[in-house]
Amino acid sequence: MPDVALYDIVDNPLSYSMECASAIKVVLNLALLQTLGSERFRRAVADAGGLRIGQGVYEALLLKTMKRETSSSVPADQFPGMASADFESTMMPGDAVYMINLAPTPLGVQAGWRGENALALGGGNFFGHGVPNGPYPVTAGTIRGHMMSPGLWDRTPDFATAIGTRSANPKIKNGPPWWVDEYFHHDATVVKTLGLP
Amino acid sequence: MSSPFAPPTGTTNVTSPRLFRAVAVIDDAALQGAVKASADLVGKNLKGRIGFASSPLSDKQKFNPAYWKQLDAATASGASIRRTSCPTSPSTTSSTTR
Repeated sequence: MPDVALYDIVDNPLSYSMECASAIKVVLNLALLQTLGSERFRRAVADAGGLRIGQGVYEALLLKTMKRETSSSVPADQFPGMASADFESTMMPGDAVYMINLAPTPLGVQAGWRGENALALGGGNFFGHGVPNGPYPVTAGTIRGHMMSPGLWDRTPDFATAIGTRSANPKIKNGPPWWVDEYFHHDATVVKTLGLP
Repeated sequence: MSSPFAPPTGTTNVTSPRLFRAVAVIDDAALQGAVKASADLVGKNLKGRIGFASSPLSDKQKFNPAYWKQLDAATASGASIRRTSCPTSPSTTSSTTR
C-alpha cells in the first residue's frame, strides 16, 4: 500500500537516504495522502500506475497534480537575469522551487549542490533537504550560504562555471550568484477529482 | 566509517497503516496546509533525519536487490526508494501564470 510505504519513511527515517528532489516528493505525496484520505489516495496512486519517487521529473501522480506557475523555461545558463528576490516575493506556501547554484565547482556538482529543490512554507521559510546541520525550517539565506561556500561555489573571472557551455556569457559572469526558478504547486482543481469513482 | 551507499540492513518495524479521511474542502488553502504539515512531519524530527545522498548509484548498485527494500503489503513492512543525486530541477510541461 503506497500510504504504508510513505509512512515507513516517516517512521524509519534513518533507514533511508535520498537527495533533495526525492525528499520534496515524499512531502508532496504525504500532503496528497492527508488531503485525499487513505482510500482515495490509494485509488489515485493505482490509477497513476503506482507510487514511484525519484530524481528528475515529477512522476505519475505528482505530474498529474502539480501546476507550473512560473518559470523562465530557459536553461539555467541562459536565464534572463531577474533578481531572485523577485521570485521569492511571488512564492506561495506549498510551492516547490528550485534554487540554482550558478557557479558550482566540479566538487559542488559532485556533492549534489548544483541546486536545491525546496518547498516554500511561507514567512521566508523553506523545507530543504541536505543542508549540513541545517535547522528546520531553513531560510533561503541558509541554503544560499551553503551553496556559495568555498569549494562548492566559485565565480572568479576565469573560472568556467559547471552549469553549462555558455559560461562566458556576461549575464552569467556578472549576474546574481544564484537563482530561484520553476515553482510548482498542487492544483486543487485536479486534486479534487483524484480517486473519485 | 561505512559507505554512504551501503545497502540497508535488517528490517524496519512499521506501525499499522494510518487511516486518513479526506478533508471536507479541497482548495489551495487545504493543500498549502497539508504541504506545511507534511514538511513538519519529515523536517522536525531532528533526531531521525532522512539521510542525504548526493551521488547517483552506479548501475551495478542500482540493480542490486540488496540496495532495495521491497514493500511487503501483507506484513506492512519495508519500502523502497532509490538513492540518487540532485543534478537537475524537476520539470513538467503545463504552464499557467498566477
